[in-house]
Amino acid sequence: MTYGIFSSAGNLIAWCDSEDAALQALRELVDEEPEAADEIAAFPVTETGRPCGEAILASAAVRHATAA
Amino acid sequence: MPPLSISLPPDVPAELVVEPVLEPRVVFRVTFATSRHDREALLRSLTSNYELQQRPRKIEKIFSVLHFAISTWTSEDAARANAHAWPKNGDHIARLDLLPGLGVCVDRPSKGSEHRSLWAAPDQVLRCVADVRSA
Repeated sequence: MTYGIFSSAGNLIAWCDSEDAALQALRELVDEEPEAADEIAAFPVTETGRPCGEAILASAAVRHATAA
Repeated sequence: MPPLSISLPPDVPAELVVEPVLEPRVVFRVTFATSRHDREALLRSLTSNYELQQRPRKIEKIFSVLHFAISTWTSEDAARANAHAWPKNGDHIARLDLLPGLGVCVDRPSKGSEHRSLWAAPDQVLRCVADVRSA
């Protein structure tokens, strides 16, 4: 499933073709900009790009990786 | 020294088509404004990541024009889905009746996509706000 990554302002930052790719992209963003960890999120989108699930905060992606 | 060449990252298209608005068209934007008269909140939500002084990230590093764009949706339902997916983006939906002659441009993404990047001065987009509804 495709994921869109957006800023808290609601603007597109990236498209990713899987949840794993989205989580990796979120972690890279936090590595570059730790202060933005709660200001960037990914959510799944349909094939037309319409959001279809809850957002995953970048900070949560980092916690998920740390716990694994 | 910057690299002499780079490869496109996965999921990044090789080109981006930007079209001026030549005929009236409608898009929707998630906002925290509660009415079309809520000028301050509307202006705040019609700003790009660049205007918010955020650094370029991911696709914005490949297509710098996207750093200057705002995300909009071609249907109210898609905008509402955005607001429900991440309430931090906003809790209302602004309908933007885009008019020719204001310098507004939108991208032409893959066929069927409901997402549109939009370029314009925020005060010009403000003139296009026709309605604001709760998400």
